[in-house]
Amino acid sequence: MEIAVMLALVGATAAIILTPLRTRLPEPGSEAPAPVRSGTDAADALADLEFDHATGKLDDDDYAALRADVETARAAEAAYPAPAGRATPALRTLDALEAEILALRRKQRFCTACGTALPKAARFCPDCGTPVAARP
Amino acid sequence: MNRTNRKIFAAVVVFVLAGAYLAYSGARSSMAYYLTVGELLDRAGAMRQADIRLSGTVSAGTIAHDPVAGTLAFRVTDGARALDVRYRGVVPDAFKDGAEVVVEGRFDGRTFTASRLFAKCPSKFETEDDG
Amino acid sequence: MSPGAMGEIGALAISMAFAVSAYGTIVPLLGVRLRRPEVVHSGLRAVYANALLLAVAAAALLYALLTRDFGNAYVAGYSSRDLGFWYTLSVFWAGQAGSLLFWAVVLAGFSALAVWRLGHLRELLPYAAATLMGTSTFFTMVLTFVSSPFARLPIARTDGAGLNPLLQNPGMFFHPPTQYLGYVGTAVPFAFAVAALATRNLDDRWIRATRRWTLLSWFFLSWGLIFGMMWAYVELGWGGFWAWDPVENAALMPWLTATAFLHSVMIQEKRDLLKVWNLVLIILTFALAVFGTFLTRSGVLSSVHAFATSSLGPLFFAFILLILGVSFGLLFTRLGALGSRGQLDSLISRESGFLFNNLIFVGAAFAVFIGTVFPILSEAVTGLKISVGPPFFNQINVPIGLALLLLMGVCPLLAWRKASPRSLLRAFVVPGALAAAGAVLLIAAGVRHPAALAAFGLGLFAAAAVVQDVHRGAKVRRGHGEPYALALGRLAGRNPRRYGGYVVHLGIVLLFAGMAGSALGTERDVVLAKGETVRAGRYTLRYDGGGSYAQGKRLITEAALTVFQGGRRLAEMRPQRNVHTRREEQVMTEVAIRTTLREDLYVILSGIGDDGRANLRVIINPLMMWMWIGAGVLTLGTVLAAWPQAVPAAQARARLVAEAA
Repeated sequence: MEIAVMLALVGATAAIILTPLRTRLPEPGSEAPAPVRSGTDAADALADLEFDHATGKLDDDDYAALRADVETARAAEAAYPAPAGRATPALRTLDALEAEILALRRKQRFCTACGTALPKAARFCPDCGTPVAARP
Repeated sequence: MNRTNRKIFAAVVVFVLAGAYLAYSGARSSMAYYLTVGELLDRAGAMRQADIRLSGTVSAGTIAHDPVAGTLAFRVTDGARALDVRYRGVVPDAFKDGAEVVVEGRFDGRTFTASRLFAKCPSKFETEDDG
Repeated sequence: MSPGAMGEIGALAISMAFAVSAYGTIVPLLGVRLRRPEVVHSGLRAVYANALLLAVAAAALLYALLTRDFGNAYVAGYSSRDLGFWYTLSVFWAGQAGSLLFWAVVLAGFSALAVWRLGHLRELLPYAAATLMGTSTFFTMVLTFVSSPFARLPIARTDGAGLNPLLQNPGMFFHPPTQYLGYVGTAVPFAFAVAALATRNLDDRWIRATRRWTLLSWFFLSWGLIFGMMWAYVELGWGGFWAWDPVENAALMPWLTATAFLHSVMIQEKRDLLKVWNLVLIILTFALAVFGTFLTRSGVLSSVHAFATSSLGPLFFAFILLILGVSFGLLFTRLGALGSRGQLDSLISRESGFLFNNLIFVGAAFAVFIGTVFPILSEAVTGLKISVGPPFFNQINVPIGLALLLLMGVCPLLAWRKASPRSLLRAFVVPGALAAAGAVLLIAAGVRHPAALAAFGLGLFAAAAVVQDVHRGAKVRRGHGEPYALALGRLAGRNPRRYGGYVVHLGIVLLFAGMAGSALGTERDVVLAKGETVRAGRYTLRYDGGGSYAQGKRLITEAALTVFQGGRRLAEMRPQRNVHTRREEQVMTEVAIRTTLREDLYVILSGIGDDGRANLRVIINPLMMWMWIGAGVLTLGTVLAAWPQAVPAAQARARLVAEAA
């Protein structure tokens, strides 16, 4: 009786584990990798902002400013749709674009010759020495 | 590091320093040497003023417990050497011959005066679960 | 079937589980490497086979316990003929070998469930399964070669040694399995984190998928602690519920990091920040869970020299090092891919609130860890062990608790990204006023303890802030034309995680209130002759005499007390100090507790002298009941937080399409 149970146990285990090996399946290869999902997308972010504003956590001007940020990012997303796949060169361009937009909002200036970020009151670029224009 | 990150960093530093201070003062007020019977006896002279947590087992047959007066006396041992302990207070359930105990208090060279007493069931080959 | 036969089946099942777990660790990875999906499937099937085998092993142990097979060393060591049905069941997890089997069984069940339900994460699954099976390999290895619950005695005993009476108590019935469910539950998010690292799939997919697992394991970790506190309060009989004992700390630390993790993943999901931090947290949580298991099972810190005498110590230590080594190694090599797309916009924002929350929790975990391993550290440095006591832990953790209460109040008032200071201050007004009013009332009522006052005040603040935020949210929806009740329901339905979290916070406020109350208690020792009375708080206790009598296998010593309040007879209390007349003469104190919402009256009988005088300790613990009420509220909040989110149909369809890809 005991032997029977033991054999059944071994048999069941072997069956469970080994049956998949009988059929050979095609190699995985070129499935389209799933789209990257990181952080909330623009629609959710806008909904958050509206709710925070409605419940009195955001002043009108802060709300307007943040909303503008999100809309800019959303416009960028629409112009460069997020491709399916991991961080590809296109996605890095989107990152760079967003960084540029954010920087502009903070009135960060860049040297027109070499592109380095300029300190606030600089009159010459610290890297390449080009004189800084009066207003970008 | 931009302005926001700098502020965050500063807040974190303040927090860590505050925590370190609290930890330090808490440690100072409750630090005690954690010794076996043998280790304490070897250093008895130097440890008269020190707060000590002594660990060992209760020597069989040495328990003198007066539940009404609330006094307890026994000898604690590390298997080779033993010393006397005096304690006043609630005696934990696990306390009996052979139990593992930890007593907190001071040693004057002859008697260990305990302010706190903890006991664990005597361990068998496998450690018993008590929590 | 002879009893020995069932035991042999159990032993075989465990050895096979070891082999199958090893198979399940290697083969999925092999299948990925060879690019043969059927090999991966075979490896995943091993997870199911493992669960089957361990279920058989568990059944075998239960059979041995319930048929009183005293030829089995474990059964003979922990149970006895006179042990009731439920406590005989609890012997399963009472001793070392059985509790390791319990761990392995729960792990097997959770792994099977995870593989079944998370099959859509095709890339991650092989690595996650391998991680889970790797853990299972360790535990089944220990069960097979070191500590088996099926070892037989050379000669079967006629009766077992019996279960330690201290464990024969409802709190101790529920505490170990709940605690283990919590520990093992952390393995699933950990496994998927490792899989995410291994496959460089470093977005928040693994977090979203394992969110419910994290919540579930956090819930069980919380209840493990609560049951432990209940047991300590009622059974250990010293009037308190937490002693900063190494074993208690071992259960607390993973809870702290798990709570931090629960919160900080929300930041990653919202703003794509703290990705490295989250991975570190889940790795630490799982490592601490295994460490907690190891600490309770091997007595390393509670007994000065137990490390060397327990064979389990070095094995567990090596396993934890392996976990940390592999996970952090993977993390280090993937650091480049873990940059954030977002950034922290402002110091005053919900994100930074969550960040501070994390710092506080991890700080607390760190402090508890240092305090717990202090003796080992100091021995390495000075040659002598130095330990720290409760004052150390309290000095750190009381301010931390207060800071958490403050955060729980402030965070609901903060907006994402950037909060407007003016709006924030306006939002502070009502909760702040309530808190101040409450504090003033308490001071007027005679409460002077600064930490307790702060706890009550901040607790009021936190509760009021939560209620205010819920109310505002409902008002917004009502502005769209919904009746208030429906608005509340829809609000919670659309975002159950947030509102469930709010309810959990309310539970924590109540828990802290109960803890603060116990700091305001009083305690006195008194010796009474028959007829004498003692005043304690608003009560008067009269000792009506006492004595000893035999009952079954116990010698009961009991004191009869009558409790009066202002001349009115309230109740009788009968604290006991019993001796179990087994081979080991175990003493059992049964405290007498009278609970009201306001306070607990707690009486310990130290003993009755030959002259009939009783030595009693009378303790008043204000607000104890609120701790357990808080635990209940916490449970309700967790259920709400785990509820599926109600989303409008179009949005739901879009999400499904995205997830399925």
